Amino acid sequence: MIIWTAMFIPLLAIIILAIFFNKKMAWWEYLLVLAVPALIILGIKSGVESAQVRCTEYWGAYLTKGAYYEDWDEWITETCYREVPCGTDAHGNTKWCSESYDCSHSEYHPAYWEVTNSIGETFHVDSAYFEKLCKLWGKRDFLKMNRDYYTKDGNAYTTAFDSVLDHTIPTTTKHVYENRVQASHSIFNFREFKKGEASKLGLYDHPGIDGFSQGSILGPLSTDPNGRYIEYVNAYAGGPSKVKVFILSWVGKPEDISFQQEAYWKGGNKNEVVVCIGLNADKTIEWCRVFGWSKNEQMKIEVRNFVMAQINVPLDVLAQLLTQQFEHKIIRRDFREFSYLTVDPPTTAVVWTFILTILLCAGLGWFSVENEFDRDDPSGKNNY
Amino acid sequence: MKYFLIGLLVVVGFLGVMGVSMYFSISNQEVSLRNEVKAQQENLKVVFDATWKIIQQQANVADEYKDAFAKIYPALMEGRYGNKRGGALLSFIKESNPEFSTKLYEKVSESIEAQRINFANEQKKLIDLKREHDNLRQTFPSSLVCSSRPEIVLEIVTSTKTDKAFETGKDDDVKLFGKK
Repeated sequence: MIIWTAMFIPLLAIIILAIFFNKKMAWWEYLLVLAVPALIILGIKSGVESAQVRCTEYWGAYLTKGAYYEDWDEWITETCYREVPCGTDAHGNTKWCSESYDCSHSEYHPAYWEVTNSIGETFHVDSAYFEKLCKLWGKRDFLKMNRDYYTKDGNAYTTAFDSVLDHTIPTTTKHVYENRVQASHSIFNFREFKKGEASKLGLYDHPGIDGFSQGSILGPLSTDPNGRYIEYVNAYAGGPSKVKVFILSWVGKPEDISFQQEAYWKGGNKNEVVVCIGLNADKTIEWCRVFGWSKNEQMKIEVRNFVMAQINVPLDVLAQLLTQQFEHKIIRRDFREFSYLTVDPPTTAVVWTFILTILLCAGLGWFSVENEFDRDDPSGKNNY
Repeated sequence: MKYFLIGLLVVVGFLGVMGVSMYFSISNQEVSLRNEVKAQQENLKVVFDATWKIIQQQANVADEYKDAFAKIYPALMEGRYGNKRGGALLSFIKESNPEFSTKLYEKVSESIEAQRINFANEQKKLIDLKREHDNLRQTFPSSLVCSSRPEIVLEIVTSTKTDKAFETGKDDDVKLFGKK
């Protein structure tokens, strides 16, 4: 709201212009000095707010098919038009007429390879990846494309997931959503971290996506070969319930680090279930805490209690439990429930809006005074 | 003079439109927050009912004990001593249903813990809504529209113990090392 107080600047500008440059001001110029800054302020407010509330969540899925489309070409029949000289007019100037001509041509379509995941997203891959996939899934089918080609008839080869669990290839994609909590003064928000503070504390950042894969296990447990089962949970539950699991682990850290991690990730994304596990030096479990925005608290307690009842972390069994917990349940929080939160732009944005509005009003005021439009001649006709 | 008046009218008109739309926007926001607080207050009752149903179904407690349950509910929701074995919850269940097998207690206490977190979150949201409403009433420029509107009074569920702890600034009942 405070950003709108910048509207006092054009108001002040109008009063100054009306008092000192009354004769130089056309009636519509007052509106100009008022409306342009109002629109600029509105634009800044909307732009800054949408940047503040913008957040990225990760959706898991798995590859279901791959395809190799051979290169091919086609003949495009097309009529084009061009301007040609067609005599001169009475003054001797060249006259131009439109003329049609045949500009038909061949169009070449290069070969490409792509894979599709269970939620219908496609990714471009290279030939080696496609062949590897065919080998893994034991399938490489020819597909006649029946194209209307010119000289080169391109067909396709496809492969499909064989439904063997260990042949699952998980994918992760980024999706943007509105998170008003992170930009508000809500009691649901968390503290800010200074630069370098998080890494000093031993906290993790969200892992990046390499191609279309993202690791979901961070810390010492990331080397556990059974970790792939957690990736499978993300792959299979990611489609229907859009849930994303992260397993974060530390050795020799107290449980407090999980609270710090929660604050650093601002509670996690709306679809995340973050299982924090503290390990002793001999890799036995010391503590476990689960956080996330999900309203399904029972699930978090059951996962925590399950982990706490173990000596070591059986990621494969934990994956089974998570799968059961996510089945037919709503895990992803609907952040529209936070639409009541007001988002204030940062102080720097407010200061820049004030500076910009002052400059804009000065510029518009100068333009209004200097141009040919006056109080008694608002259309500027008499100056011509 | 005629053109000056037109200019003045245009400016006043523009400001009027802006002012009126801002007034209605702020006013509606205030009313919607007030209504949301009311709804959220009702929502807390839903959490109470859900907790009661869990106790009823998982521990076979009869309807007539609902009032007795309401008495231990605030302490239970604060998690002060409700969920531990031998705590208020188990005593309540045992009194209401002497047949209750303590083997089932883990399941009941898990459900109650989930309800406690839900309740805390719902109560937190209620406080957050009030904070937003207070900001609207007290900060400029929205205070121009709704500073005269009444403050929302919340009904927060807390135990007598907590109220007392906040009143006196002392909470001597915390047992850090288990049984004394």
